[in-house]
Amino acid sequence: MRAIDFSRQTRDERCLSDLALDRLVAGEPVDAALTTHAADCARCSGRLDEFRRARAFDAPLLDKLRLQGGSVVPLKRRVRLATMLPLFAAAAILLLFLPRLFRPSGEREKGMSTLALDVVVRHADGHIEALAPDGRVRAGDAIRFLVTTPRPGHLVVLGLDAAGTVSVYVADGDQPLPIERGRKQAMPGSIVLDATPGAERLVALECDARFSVANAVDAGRRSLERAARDPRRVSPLDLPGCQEAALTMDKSQ
Amino acid sequence: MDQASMEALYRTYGSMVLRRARTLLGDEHAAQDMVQEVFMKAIRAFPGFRGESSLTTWLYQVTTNHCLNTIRDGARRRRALERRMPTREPVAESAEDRVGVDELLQQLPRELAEVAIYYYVDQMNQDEIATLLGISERTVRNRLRDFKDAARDRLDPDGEKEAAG
Repeated sequence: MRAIDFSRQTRDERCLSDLALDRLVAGEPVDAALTTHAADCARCSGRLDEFRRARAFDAPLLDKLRLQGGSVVPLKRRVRLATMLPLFAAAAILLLFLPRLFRPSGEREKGMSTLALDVVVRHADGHIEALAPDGRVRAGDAIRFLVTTPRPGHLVVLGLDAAGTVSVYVADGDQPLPIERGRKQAMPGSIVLDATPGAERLVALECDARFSVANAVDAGRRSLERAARDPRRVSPLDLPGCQEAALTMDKSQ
Repeated sequence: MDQASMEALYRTYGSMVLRRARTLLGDEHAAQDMVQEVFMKAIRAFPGFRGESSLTTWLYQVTTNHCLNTIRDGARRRRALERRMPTREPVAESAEDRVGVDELLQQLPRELAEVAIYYYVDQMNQDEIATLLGISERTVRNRLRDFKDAARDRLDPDGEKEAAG
């Protein structure tokens, strides 16, 4: 997530605004000049592609949100409702209304007693799917992390690969990323996989207190060495005050 | 609005709402909540949508209004929480920029915050903002100038004000 720069506009005056790009993505009728500009301008056509890719990439997350819609009121909203009784009646109507709109019968929110890591893969051909344990991916595929946690904390996601490298996929610079409690929270950004073949262990590490990402990387490296650089045999990093969730993927070129 | 239309609305515009909510709220969980909130509102309000603007434009406004409400409610809740929890840990360094953004959007008059969002976040030109908000370009210019002055006052109280124009 980027900070907002309130000091200047970053686009060229001739280029299209986000609103214009969003209208093009949505397929709404727009002035022909906008369509022509989007086709002719490298920056705008690039951003248009970016918006379209984001739309495809967000689709699984939006499906999940839709399934949750109305089935469970998010915690923050529950708190607000408890203190704002006049809104309760309206909310109750919505709760009755929304499940009929979106939720398949029998769908229930599962509990979230421990940290869980889900990975969504966008393959090079545009197909998007959830990564199964030991699921196959290829160089050039993009992955995105969804983290479920029952408590707020500080998170990193590391990749331990067959070349003995420990990569930091989710962090906030050299610090872990603060995370709230919640289900399937999409982590910022996506990772395009490189050409290193073989297994890669993806480890989400969430701790009560802030910690050094460098220490977590060292722990990952030690664990990988202990496993003779076989990511499938890596044992938990066992950092104090932390919980872990992990998933292995199998990467081919 | 039938179910197929709701599905189509959500599939077509969900990602756009999510992207803007992420940027404005700076918090993934809150942004996901916001998607649900915006579409609840959109579904309820849709019968009154007269098609005078595009659906994209309309959802931009709904999202902006809800995000501003959330940011401003958040400030009120945080103040209440801080009164109850005076020993709370200081804000993490990584969130400092975010706090600056939130403070601006919380403290400045809503009409200035709104114009600033469309101009700086959505990179809209003054003509587009004027059309979206149903105000004149001159009013947009004035609000942007007021926003810059107010932001500068908060960030650099000793700095000089930009000449009006």
